[in-house]
Amino acid sequence: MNFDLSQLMRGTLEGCILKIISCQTTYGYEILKSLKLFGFQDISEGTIYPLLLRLEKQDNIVAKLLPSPLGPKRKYYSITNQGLEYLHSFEVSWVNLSRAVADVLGLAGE
Amino acid sequence: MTKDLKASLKLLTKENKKIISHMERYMGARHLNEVCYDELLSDIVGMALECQERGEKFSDAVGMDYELFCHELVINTPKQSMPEQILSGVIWVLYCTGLVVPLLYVYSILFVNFTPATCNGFLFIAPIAYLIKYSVVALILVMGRYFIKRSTYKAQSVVLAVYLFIFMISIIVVDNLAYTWFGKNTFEIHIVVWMLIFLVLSVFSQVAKRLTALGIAYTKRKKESKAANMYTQMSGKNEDPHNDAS
Repeated sequence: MNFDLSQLMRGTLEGCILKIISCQTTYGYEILKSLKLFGFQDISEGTIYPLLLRLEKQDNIVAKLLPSPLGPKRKYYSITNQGLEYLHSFEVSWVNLSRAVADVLGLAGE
Repeated sequence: MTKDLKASLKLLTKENKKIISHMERYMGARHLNEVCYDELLSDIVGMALECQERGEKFSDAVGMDYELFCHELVINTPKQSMPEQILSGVIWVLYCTGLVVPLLYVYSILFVNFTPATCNGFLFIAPIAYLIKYSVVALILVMGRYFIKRSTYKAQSVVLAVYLFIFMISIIVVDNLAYTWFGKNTFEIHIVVWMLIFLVLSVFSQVAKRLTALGIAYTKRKKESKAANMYTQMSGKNEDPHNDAS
């Protein structure tokens, strides 16, 4: 049986999306392209759009409607101060967790 | 639905229009704040249009089970407040009673021998039980439409069969109860006055509902803009993405 990646990805993606938005004000498809560039190959707009809404609902990001060269107005997202704090907390948690997981997985080699 | 949204919907391909109309039906029956729901729908339509422009399939962009996608969106979108929900209920009851009476009036003019009601000019005289029965029937029809919308991604034939069964039982129950409780007591309605009252009340309720929804959406936007301003001031970042957006 293969490992179900979706549950693991869920929390992780939120932090990664927040990190991308913290670098520049951006929109959904651009975030998707950045994530794919970093190796998240199996995700789609349908995966990240609910996460963006969730982050917006939690006041970690804010959205602004601006004209788009393709179709109707597009939502551009920026991070908030609360979002920056959340991102920092995610980064600390991720470093600790990944170190712990790496240690556990390294048991076999010792 | 805003004018922009209606115009955008027209630009969709047949396949995308079908996907979005199913999403619209599913989310439309989830008691979402009216303004936020319009924004959400506009985002989805925008997403579909951008997919079209890029020559990609919208279904691939959604990338998962549509019901799960809509469910995720619904749980992250502000719901209707209590006043909005009450006003929605009032609007539906108004539509049911408000439209049923003129319909029964027309019916009693056209089919004099097939109705217990009578007409004397604009005066409509009918048994109370008769009016109650058809108002409840109209309400059940409306509720049925709502439940069918809610179960968009379920087996529609089963939903329809269950609904029709409940509908038939309700008609029999209402028919018996209405005549038992109200007997042959009649009610006189001046149809023009009735229509005017219905019109005023429904316009008032619609406006009140829209204003309530706008009030909640405005509070949300104000909070967002405050958070964005605070961040811009603290970080000194340029908020205009057009310099680097494609």
